[in-house]
Amino acid sequence: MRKSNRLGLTKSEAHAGLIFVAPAVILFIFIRLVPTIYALFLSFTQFNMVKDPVWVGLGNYIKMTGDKEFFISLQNTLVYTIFNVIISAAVALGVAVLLNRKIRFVGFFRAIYYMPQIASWIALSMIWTYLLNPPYGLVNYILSLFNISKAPWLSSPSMALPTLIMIAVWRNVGYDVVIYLAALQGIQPSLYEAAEIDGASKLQQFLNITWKLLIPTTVYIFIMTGIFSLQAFDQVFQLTAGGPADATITVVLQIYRQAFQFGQMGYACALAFVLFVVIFILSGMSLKITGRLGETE
Amino acid sequence: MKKRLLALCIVLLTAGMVFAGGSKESSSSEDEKTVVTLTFLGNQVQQDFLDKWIPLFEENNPDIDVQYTVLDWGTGKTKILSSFAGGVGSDIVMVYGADIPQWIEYGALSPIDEYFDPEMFIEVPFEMGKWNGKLYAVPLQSKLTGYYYRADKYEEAGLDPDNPPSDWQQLAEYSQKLTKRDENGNLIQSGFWVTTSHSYKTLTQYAVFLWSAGGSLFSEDGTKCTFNSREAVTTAEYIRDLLNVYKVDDAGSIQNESTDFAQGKMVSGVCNNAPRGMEISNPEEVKFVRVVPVPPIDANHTGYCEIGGDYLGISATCKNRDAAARVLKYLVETPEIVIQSCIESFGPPALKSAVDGFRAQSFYADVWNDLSNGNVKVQPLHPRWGEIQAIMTKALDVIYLEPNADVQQVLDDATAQVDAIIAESVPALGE
Repeated sequence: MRKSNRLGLTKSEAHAGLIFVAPAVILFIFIRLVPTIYALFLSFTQFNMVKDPVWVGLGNYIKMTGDKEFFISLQNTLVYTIFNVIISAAVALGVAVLLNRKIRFVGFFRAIYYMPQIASWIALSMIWTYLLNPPYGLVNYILSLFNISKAPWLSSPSMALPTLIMIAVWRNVGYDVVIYLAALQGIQPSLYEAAEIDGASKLQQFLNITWKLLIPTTVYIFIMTGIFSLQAFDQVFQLTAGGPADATITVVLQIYRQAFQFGQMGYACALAFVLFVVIFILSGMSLKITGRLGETE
Repeated sequence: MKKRLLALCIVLLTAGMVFAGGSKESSSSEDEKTVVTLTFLGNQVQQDFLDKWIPLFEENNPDIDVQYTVLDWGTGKTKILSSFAGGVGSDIVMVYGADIPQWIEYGALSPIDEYFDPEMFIEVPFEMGKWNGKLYAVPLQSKLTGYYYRADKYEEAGLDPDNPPSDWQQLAEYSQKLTKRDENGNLIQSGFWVTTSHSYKTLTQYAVFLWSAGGSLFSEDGTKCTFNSREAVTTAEYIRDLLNVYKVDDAGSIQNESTDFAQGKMVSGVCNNAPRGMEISNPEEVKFVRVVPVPPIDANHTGYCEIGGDYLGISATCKNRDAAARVLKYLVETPEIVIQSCIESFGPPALKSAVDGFRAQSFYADVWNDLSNGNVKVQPLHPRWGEIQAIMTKALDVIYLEPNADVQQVLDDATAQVDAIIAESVPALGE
């Protein structure tokens, strides 16, 4: 057989391969690539979705530099992302370590922690809206039993964003726990046995074995949770709609408002591309760090 | 050969999958009927409404086939605008009154003056369908923002339901009497709903109070924002104090005024659809609902209601304007249809010939007299109203929720932002 390329495939094998990937590639081109390129084009126009787009060059990007709302939304998004990523991972790591032991009903607990992941953000947000209602919600009722005053969870500008982060952490923990559990179960028990023989305490074992071997997993969790958090929309839209006083407005919500409430689709596309670049850079940085850590290990 | 055939099949199949969704549904060719598409906003009530009335129209107009859809209020506007972007917009669309100039600016609506006689409609709601002198949309029913209260809760609090508050001071005192808290200060019953963080109701409530203090959101010619006037500051401080000094409500306590009004969690407020939930869950209690204009700041001023509403217009992409106009006229000029729509939506009619029939069936009868006497205003109209509303709502949230905020400064900042929008676009109309 004559091998035709660097993959060592024959011509007919290469053709067959191309044919098999064609459906996915064609779908990708029409559903992802073309709209993305069109959105990039729109970001250089003024477009309200009905009239023809009008070319404004870098106008939308220049406008962004003086747009206070955009910077507020960017700041909120970053705060939301950083706290959500770190707290979720920390809580999940603790839970995963506990669930990795031989305890009773471990399957039940794993299911319980994962459950919020299954439900949609919209459904969860509606439930949380009622749970957190200042005078009538269950959360404040329980707090009042302990003589703790009722909190304006979502209606105070200073509390709304931390509350959103708390809800996001509650939902993310299940996903992170599953990933950590898989990683924990891949650690050789012999490492702990050897450490124990050497006289290492439980804390030393955790820091020098568990944590070190979980760093690549943690970076993966940081990247995934980070990307999802940077795109936060459903929960914010449903729970606070960006209020009160823009205290919880996120970049994606700002994109939505500009596009569909204010009729500035061109500007919204420009915002979307800036967000894309931010996510791209952060993901690239994270991948680089993972690679370095992998080499170190 | 076989492989090539297989490849061809896969490519054709894929292309079919990609393009199948894009093919536009061809217009009906059955019996040469003209197809008119109609998009309503609402819920099952509106679906049932159309299910009842459209077949009757088609029966009497066999040359027209009306294809209708009902989209929910929350996302309907987005979907309609997206459909225009995709070139598949409906011939007739429902639009909320305040959005009309924005939709005209988008190029989504076309003028319909030739089809309607203004004399058939009450002036204020009819005028709201106009922009720059041309009529673009006609009202199906109005939405009335006034002072709603429950007569039974008034009596419980030792107040006379036939004598609602006559000025702001009395409103604050009444609201305090209507408010119930437990021994720890936890809210049990909100005496007056202070609307915070709502995309449009926060500003609507504020605007009605502002008018009742002699102020306005814009100068008479619409070229200057007057959101930082003396009256505007007084109004913002008053509503802030209702929340923080008189403590008639807790911010965010009311999630759905129609349900909470029906359940008695909220017993009064300046809003527009408080009784709706009551009609569904406790219809026997609708008799307790009263609505009057918002009390004026003092005896030297006039109290107002705000009127908005659900409008219908013909889209700019409509190919069969005359057929669409026939459907539109049928919906907004048939008294029975308008009365049913108004009763189901708890809003008074704009069609004059529907007023008497509506009066006979609705508790709005009394307030309708006030409206006819000129105690009603519309919110300003502007193609960028969405942005203006967001700026003003944010400022009001800051004032209401951060009691130490400098009211004048917050309103000055918001006014500067709104003035910038007006400077780069057009003056506001209305009020």
